[in-house]
Amino acid sequence: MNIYLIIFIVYFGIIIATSIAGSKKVESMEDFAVGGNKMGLLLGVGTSMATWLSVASVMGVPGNIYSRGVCAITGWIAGWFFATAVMPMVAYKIRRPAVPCRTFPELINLRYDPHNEKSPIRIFVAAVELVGYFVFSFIQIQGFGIVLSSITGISYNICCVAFMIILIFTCMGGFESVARTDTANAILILIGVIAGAVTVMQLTGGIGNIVENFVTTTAPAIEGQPALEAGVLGSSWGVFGVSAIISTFLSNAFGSIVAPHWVARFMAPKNAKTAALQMFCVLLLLIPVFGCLIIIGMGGKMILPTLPAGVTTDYMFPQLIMNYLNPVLGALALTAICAAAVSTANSMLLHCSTSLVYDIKRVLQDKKASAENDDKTTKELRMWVLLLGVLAVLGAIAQFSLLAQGFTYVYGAFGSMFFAPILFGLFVKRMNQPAAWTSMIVGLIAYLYCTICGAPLGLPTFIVSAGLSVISAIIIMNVTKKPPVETYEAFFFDEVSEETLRTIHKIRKDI
Amino acid sequence: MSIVPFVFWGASILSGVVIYVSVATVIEKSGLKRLGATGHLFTCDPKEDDK
Repeated sequence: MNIYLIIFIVYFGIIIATSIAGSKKVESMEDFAVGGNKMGLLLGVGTSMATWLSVASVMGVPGNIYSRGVCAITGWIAGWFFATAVMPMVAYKIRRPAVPCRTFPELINLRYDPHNEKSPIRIFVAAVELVGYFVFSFIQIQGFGIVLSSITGISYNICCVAFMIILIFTCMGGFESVARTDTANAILILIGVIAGAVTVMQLTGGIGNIVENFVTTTAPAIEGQPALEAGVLGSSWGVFGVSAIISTFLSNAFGSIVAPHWVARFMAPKNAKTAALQMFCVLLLLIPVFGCLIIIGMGGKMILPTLPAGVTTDYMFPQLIMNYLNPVLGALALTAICAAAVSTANSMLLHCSTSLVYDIKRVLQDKKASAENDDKTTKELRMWVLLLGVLAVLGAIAQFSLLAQGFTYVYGAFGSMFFAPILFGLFVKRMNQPAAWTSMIVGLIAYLYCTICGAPLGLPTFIVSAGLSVISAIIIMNVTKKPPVETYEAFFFDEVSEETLRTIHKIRKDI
Repeated sequence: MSIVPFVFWGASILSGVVIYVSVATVIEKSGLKRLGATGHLFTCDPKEDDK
């Protein structure tokens, strides 16, 4: 049997066993949505690390360095690391309340519309989250199907269905199951990228040869493209220039901090210190992973100077695996790509389900809180994970061409819309509901306009749209009424009033 | 080869150390076990420390 298949079957086995173990821990709706707000440090680090490492980073980073040079380290890697560096501050604020929120839309409900049980702002945010994360899940399935089928020769449709089975197994068990499989995936990703980097070092003769080739090569990234200027890959700003690289750094840094799935990751730990420490540990653990990805990107230029026409540079790492890696190491590296796709897509699918059932249906139904209703909601959450998973895989099989670019669009839209509501909401008491609505709408419209018509003065889309959103929030919050104390008290003070506590329980529909 | 990208990367990591230590210090100063105050900057399980 093909070595790739054997290692994949072992991988599937590990993931399914881990998911079943995690699903046994689910006793309540809170357990399903956020692991009961009692997640420990180890699981927190595992799930956060795996969430950072998507297909976009495991395949995209080596591809970016391969084609754009070391300047990609500034724009992308340093940007993501800066986001992770700031996250302990945001995590502390989000997990500070004694009774924490369970989902991102619920947090928006508490912060901006605490006395409305059918809050329009909560439903709007949940709908945006549902659409955005469904697109994410779909893209992950499609990307994974293409890579796996092109390497193993298995049909694309079978690859998509296999991916769906793993996804559904991990998500049906809820947050704990997702966190456990993420931790297993994080370990596999680390082993896989180390295997890739060690092989690249062996094939190239070491780091000295890699650097020497990288700073002198003129080979274009893709066949048919013009030759590169000698030394451009080793220069500080590459072919982009200072302004473009700094803008990319800012977009990656500030766009990532406010993604709703990160907000949910910060609610799950057992206390605020765990939430902050988990992100600090992730920052340190990501260093060897990205170190290996840099070696693969730079070394790839020596082993495979030019890629054949018709492929993108994202496929440089899979091309290396297929053509140069020892089959066992290659299978491990390929499993790392698979693990990266699973670990990102499972949490996206879980978000889709919680947005739809917990934040839209449960809020609109307006039923009285009871253990029976909570059990029913948990069952519905599982059912919708299954349905959305099937829908996403059918879309991937039908080959709707959302393309990988969709990933960037969703992240950009999330960043532009939620930057001000989240960061101002957590750090500025004056931030209120009109400012939150205005900043989200302005951010969305500006993002759509810049994406379709192009940003003015050649500025990056995210900088323009998030900038306008922030400016509008500052103006509106200063010309409208101050928010009531219940909206911000839990995020700014260690002790809260009875009224605030009552409001939080009411929003959560606690029994 | 330019070291500028590596300086940016290193600075991002360093800022992470500074930010985490500031956040952990605030939690420790509060002394609240509910927030995870343990008396140490790099631990987060108060029950464990109490044993």
